[in-house]
Amino acid sequence: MSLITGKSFISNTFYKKVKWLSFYEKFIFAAIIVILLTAIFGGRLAPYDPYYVNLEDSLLPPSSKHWFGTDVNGRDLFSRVLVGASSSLLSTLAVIAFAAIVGTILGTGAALGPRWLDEIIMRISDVAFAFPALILSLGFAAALGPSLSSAVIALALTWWPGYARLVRTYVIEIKYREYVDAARMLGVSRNRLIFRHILPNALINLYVQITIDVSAVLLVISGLSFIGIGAQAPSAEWGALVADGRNYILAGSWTVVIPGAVICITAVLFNLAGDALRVINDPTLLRKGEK
Amino acid sequence: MAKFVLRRLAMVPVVLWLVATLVFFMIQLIPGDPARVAAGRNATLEQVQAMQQKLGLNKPLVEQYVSFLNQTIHGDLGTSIFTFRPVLTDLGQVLPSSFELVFAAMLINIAVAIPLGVITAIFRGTRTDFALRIITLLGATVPVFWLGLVLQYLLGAQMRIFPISGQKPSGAQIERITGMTTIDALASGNLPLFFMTLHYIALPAFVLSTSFIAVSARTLRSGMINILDSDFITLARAKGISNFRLILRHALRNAILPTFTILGMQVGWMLGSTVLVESIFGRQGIGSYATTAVLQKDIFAVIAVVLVMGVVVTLVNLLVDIGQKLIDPRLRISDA
Amino acid sequence: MSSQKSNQPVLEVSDLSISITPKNDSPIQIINNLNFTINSGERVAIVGESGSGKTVTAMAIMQLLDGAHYQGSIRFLGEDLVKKNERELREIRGGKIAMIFQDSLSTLNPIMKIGQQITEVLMIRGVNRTSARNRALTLLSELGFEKPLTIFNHYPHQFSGGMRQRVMIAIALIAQPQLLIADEPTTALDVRIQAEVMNLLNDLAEKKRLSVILISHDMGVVAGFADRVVVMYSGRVVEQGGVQEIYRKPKHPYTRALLNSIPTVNRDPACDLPFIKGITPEPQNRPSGCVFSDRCTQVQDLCKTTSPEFTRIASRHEYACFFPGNDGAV
Repeated sequence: MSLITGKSFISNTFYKKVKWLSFYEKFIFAAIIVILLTAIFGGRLAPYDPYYVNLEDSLLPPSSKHWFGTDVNGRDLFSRVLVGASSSLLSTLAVIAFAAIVGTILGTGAALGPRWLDEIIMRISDVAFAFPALILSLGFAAALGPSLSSAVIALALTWWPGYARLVRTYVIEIKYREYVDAARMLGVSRNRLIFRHILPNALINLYVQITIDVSAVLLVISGLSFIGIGAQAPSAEWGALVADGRNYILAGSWTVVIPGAVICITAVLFNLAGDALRVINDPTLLRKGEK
Repeated sequence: MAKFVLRRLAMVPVVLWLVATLVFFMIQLIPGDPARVAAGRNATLEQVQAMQQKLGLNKPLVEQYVSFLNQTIHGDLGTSIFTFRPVLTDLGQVLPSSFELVFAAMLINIAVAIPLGVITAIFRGTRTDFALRIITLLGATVPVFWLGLVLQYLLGAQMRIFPISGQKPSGAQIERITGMTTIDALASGNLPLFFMTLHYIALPAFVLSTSFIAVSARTLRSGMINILDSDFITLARAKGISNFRLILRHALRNAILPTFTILGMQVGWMLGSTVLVESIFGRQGIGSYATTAVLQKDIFAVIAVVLVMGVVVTLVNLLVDIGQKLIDPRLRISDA
Repeated sequence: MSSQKSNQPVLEVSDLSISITPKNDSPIQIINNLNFTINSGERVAIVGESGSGKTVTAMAIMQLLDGAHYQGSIRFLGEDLVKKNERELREIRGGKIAMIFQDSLSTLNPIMKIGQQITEVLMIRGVNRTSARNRALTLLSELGFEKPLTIFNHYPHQFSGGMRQRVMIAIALIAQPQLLIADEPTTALDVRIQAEVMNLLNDLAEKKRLSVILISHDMGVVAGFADRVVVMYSGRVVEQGGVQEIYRKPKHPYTRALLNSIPTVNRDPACDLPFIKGITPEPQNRPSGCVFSDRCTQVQDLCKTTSPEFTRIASRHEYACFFPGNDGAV
């Protein structure tokens, strides 16, 4: 295995796998890149000012002038969706980034460190599991006042235990594999051991979980905004958009249907991407009928 | 076996105590001054100080902890700033409704996910499998609140198959026994009314269950596929067992364990997700209660909600633990 | 070794060839032209390395190979199993033909009580619960269990390998089958338990007039149990005959090599244990001509181009080789 060339081992196999992507997989990954780009540049691509209130144009159905129609305040929905992409997706990514980084550090520490450290970290994560994410977010919202940031903080704090456990399992498994012993015998220093051999191989699988989690966290964040304790008006966060349109669904169903569909499609894409990554990582899954 | 159950039950008060302690610590971590929040927005400095006295915030931490435990055990969770009633009473009003919803959603979850998991496992690789899995994927990724709104619009407003909101027909009087409209209606002996309450709970329960069905079905499918490929199925076939019996008694019983555990965890998550569904369908429940509490900065109410959630989830975990040992005798080794 | 035989063969495998077709691929021929018979009360051992097709043959008799295409026939008491439908086969499996497997831990249902696993065989055939239970308890004591009731109420993981193997035998014999297929029953056990189990099988076969197919790669175990031996290699029979003839006068080079590789007490310990070079070929990569030609030490040009037909020497001793060995024991 990757005795000497820890790093090149990863990039080599990854590129080899990527070469044989089918059309379906390429399509999914392309779509995701488009979405991520929208999240970064959305604001600048918006044809109208997403916050400009213009009551004359209230609740116009989708047309060539307003691709997604307008909401009750006459704001162009398409522009709002574009801008909302940043709120929704960047906050999602923030949660996951925090959870993944903290989870990896703590998980590795638990796996490689002294026994008591392992116990403590595991107990804390058990406790974090006892409280569903939504409830904890409520608590934080109460303390810090409802906002997208308090939602992000709350979610990040509930999500890291999942990663900690996952990374801990991976690292423990790698720890006991022969090639680590072999490297040790060759006199490789402890740090080098951790960073160039153990971690890369353990983390190889993490990106699958991360991709799938984007889907899950997005749904929770938009849910929080929907009930009013996440993003606040006039934010264009997608969940908030659905909440905006909620009372006017009879007069203008697009105000609800379109933002929700956008959330759904994004979640589906990331979910499928995660599945595709899983199969790319481990093609033996196909044999068992996993798609 | 009985010994094991008793031992587990004896752990319950310990665990509850742990949960309460944890909540206490979390409260301490909340930034800001709880007295100020409790006194209300426009409180004057004297009022805030008086509140501090009242809440015993000047006393040492240990004393606060003890009185907190004391109060909690006696059911005194504070008084709601908003309604001016004891929080416990308010909670008692809304909690049964949420339990009712989660119970109904769990029933739907189990009733749909198990056949789904089994069928997609047996027919894996075929078009049926593929189609069913796409449907469940959509179920998992559709935002619950959006699904609720859309179905409410389509099936409620447009097609009028289901009622739009509420828990019972307006004007109907149901004597409150448990607080769960369906049970109370049943208890009053009025069958047509009972069926009507079922009609009202159907759509919200279904919406709540969709994302969970996907996960449970997927877990069961994986478990079944592993079991169906294993050796003891070969032996069972060599005995001449019919396929039906094979699937039910042999394969399913062995595959169900991880799904059972997941179902247990889902109870807690579902309870948390009720908030999304309740406001849409005009139902009472812990979710909307908590949301209002947050927006009103009703701090005692929020604390109480977190406490109750912790307790419920822990109890459910305990039940799942016992259930696991019932299902798989290999897990009983430590107590045999 | 065995008691009297009656005239009609219990099992008659004629010209059996089995192929499977994996998805999007061409059919693979796993078994080629198998021919052997088993008479009532007879014990036949099928031997060969892994990959020789022994287990496939056993599963084929039970008709448990999914997606396989059969040519030829497998006649059990005169009726062709290949032509039967699933319902008829279910009656036969467990009832008339029973099978025991190698790894008792993975083939017994881990979460079902042992008693239930045994009585199930009878209850699906309409026997009521009480009499099924009694029969099971009786059988368990016959099998040497002193406290059958304890065994009855416990789970497989609570017992040792030898005891579990006996449980499997109980499951197989409870419905009084006529043919028992034992697939490597002792491979996972240590030598002492091996002997116990084989002795048990011996007694039972005697008492119940069972015909037995013993599948094994352990030539030692086979010698102590079988009446006749069928030697398989890569999906074909290469030699078959009475156990005495096969062990004393093996003709086919593969049989000779197998016998050679048994460690014996009076062998010179300093010499390397002889083994057969190479590995059994995959079905797609079989050599042309004689199937053993790429590993045979006595291979000639003829062997590489033509597949040898069977030569019969004694009654029911036949082999397929152009250049058989002629001396005695090797």
